[in-house]
Amino acid sequence: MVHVQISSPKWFFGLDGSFELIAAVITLIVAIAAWKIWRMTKERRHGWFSLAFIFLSAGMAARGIADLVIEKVVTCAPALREALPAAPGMTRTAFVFIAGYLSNILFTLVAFIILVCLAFRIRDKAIALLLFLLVIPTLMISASYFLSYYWLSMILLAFIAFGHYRHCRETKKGKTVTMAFIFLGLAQVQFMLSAVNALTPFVKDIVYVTAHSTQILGFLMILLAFIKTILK
Amino acid sequence: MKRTKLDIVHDMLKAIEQKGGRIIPTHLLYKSNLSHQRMKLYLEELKRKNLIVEVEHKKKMHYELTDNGRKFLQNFKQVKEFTETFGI
Repeated sequence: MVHVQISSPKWFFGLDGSFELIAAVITLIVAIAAWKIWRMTKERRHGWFSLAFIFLSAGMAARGIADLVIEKVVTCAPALREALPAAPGMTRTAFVFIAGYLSNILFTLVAFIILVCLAFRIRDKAIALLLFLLVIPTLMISASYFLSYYWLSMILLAFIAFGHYRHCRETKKGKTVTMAFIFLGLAQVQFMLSAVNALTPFVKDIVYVTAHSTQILGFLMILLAFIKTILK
Repeated sequence: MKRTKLDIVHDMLKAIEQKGGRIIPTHLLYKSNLSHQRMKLYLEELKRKNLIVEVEHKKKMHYELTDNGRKFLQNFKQVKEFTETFGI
């Protein structure tokens, strides 16, 4: 029987889910703005950018909802457990956890691949497909979905940040967005560290909390950059 | 500084707007500062995206701004800012 092992410290339990839902709202706002621009310009890159942020939003929402549902069931209302969907061979909370986190992993990685293609102006569909085929199956056959996911996200985010940095040097614009992607990449490194068993529980808790804080800071910087574009 | 594609589209639409929303091809060519070949490509794209339409006025062919084209001009600054900020 598969059980859920909660990695969040007790006092942070629930806050992580809230952070993820805030990130989902931020990315959805940016996605809607990009979609509106795409409707106006009919430029494919605006459409792809919007799609990437919709995927990011869906991924963060799936993980946030899973975290909050598990938190509610475990801490506040254990009776709700029976209302959760079930699957053979795993507890109901494990099913919610796996469904939420797997959706998060798949949606987020696809979003990052699209953002890499946009950051490097990759127009060749074969290269985009190559990226996709390298990333997704690698994750599927890996022994640890989480470690592979954080590793792949970190690499993809590093390249997105580098692409934005180059753009930033050329145009002198987009510093906040570059910083945001650097923060998101750093968060993946911290998430990876928080999964290392050699660390003491106390250190793991600290790293887990800082990972979430760094991640939400990254998303808040994206929101800040977006607000700046509206105000100009 | 080299004009981006978005800038060129803006310049072309702005030129049409400044001529009262309708312009003849020769004036557009002159105002948008493009080669004939490149302008043809841009015009095709603008028509495809429904930002301009071809109309006949006083027995001459003109390019006319559509509502979509006017909307684009109104929001151009924000579109450009968004595009540059997010490196799209």
